[in-house]
Amino acid sequence: MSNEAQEQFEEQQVKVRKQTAHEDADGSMNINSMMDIMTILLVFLLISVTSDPLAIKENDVLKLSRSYASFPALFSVPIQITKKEITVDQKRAVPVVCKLDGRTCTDADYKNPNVRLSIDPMNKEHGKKDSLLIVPLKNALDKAVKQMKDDIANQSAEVVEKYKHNQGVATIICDQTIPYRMIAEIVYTTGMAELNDMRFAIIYAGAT
Amino acid sequence: MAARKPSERRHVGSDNVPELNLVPIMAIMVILIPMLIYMFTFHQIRVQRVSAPRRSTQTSKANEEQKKPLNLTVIIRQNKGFTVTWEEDAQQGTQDGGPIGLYKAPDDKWCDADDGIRGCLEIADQGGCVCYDVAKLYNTVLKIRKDPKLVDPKKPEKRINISAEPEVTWSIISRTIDAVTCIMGVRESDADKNASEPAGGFTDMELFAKAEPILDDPIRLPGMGEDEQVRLCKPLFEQVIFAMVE
Repeated sequence: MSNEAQEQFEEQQVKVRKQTAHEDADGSMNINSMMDIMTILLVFLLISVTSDPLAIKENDVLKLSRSYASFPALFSVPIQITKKEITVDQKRAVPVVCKLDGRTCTDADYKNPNVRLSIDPMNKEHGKKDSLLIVPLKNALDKAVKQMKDDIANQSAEVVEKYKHNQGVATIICDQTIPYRMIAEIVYTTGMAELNDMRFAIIYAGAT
Repeated sequence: MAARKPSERRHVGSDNVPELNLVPIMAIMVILIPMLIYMFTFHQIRVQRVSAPRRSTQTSKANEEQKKPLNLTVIIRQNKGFTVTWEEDAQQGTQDGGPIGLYKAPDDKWCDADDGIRGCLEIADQGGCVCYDVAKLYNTVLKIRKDPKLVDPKKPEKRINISAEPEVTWSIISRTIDAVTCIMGVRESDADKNASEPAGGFTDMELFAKAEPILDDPIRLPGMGEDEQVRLCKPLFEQVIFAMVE
């Protein structure tokens, strides 16, 4: 083959290679692996967001207090107190009465620091205003403690060990504007449900 | 029709099946994932420990002969400050540390700063932003803790009662718990790894605003994982009991 023919052949080969490469990259990217990653990420995030009671998103009805306490939050019964309701283990137990200038709060009022929060006397022992025992909360706590004991029975030895150390512990996730009277009622009721060690969740303000 | 090899059979007609269009699903995922990440909290959640008061009916002779309990109590007054009371062996009745009033913030920004960590409130009657004087409270409680007549240095009292008027909010109670449970210190420079007690004590709220607990060596608490450890603060009165009156 002459030199000219050889050059022509090589040029043709280059053209063919370029054309093939162009045809392969026709814009239809293979996104299957990307989809796999996204699906795993989505499932992980969904489980994390829904299952962890201490994954708290602050809003108008729940803003935690800031503190320097460094004690870690451990395995226990979670009680959440917002300006709207009290929940035990993410289930609604008692509504919170919110009043502003004598009327019931609207959604916009929750930002106002002058709102008055309390528990309806109807939900207290014998319907008395001065009683410290919140009956529906006590029932919900009794149920949660029993449920936890039943769940633990089927768990691994490691979880059982953790539970033993944190038996009688309640983690209270409390909005920073909740008044002492309401906290005292909740603490008293929690104590009556055999949960004598109360741990108030805070957002750590110290250096990490 | 000619027979096909098994390896070819599975490819028969594969060209006719249209490929699933994953682009709309990807678009949903791209929206959902940032939304869930936004919902995630990136704060460090810790806890303040509080015990409910326990009733005791045992009154043995031995108990009567023992030293009188300190029964240190902090009462939080709504928009007024604190009262500290305790019992003394040598004195009759309950001792009173005198009222600890409110501290006028040097700047109205103190009420908004650091999400309420300073224990300050806007009170119109008091002329704007005022703070519960946790610096004075800390000094009073520390003085009691270091007084050998009141607290046995070998077997120090751990309990402190906290009570409050009905309308006092949790943020103020939480700040009070911070001030009575840990020995506080300040970092003299940014390079300091640990805080240390200031030589002249906490003279005012401005210095106390920079205070942070002095941390002990790392320990593993019961119920924690084998590799987990935590640094707790040096205790002042570590066992907080909510005092309640029915």
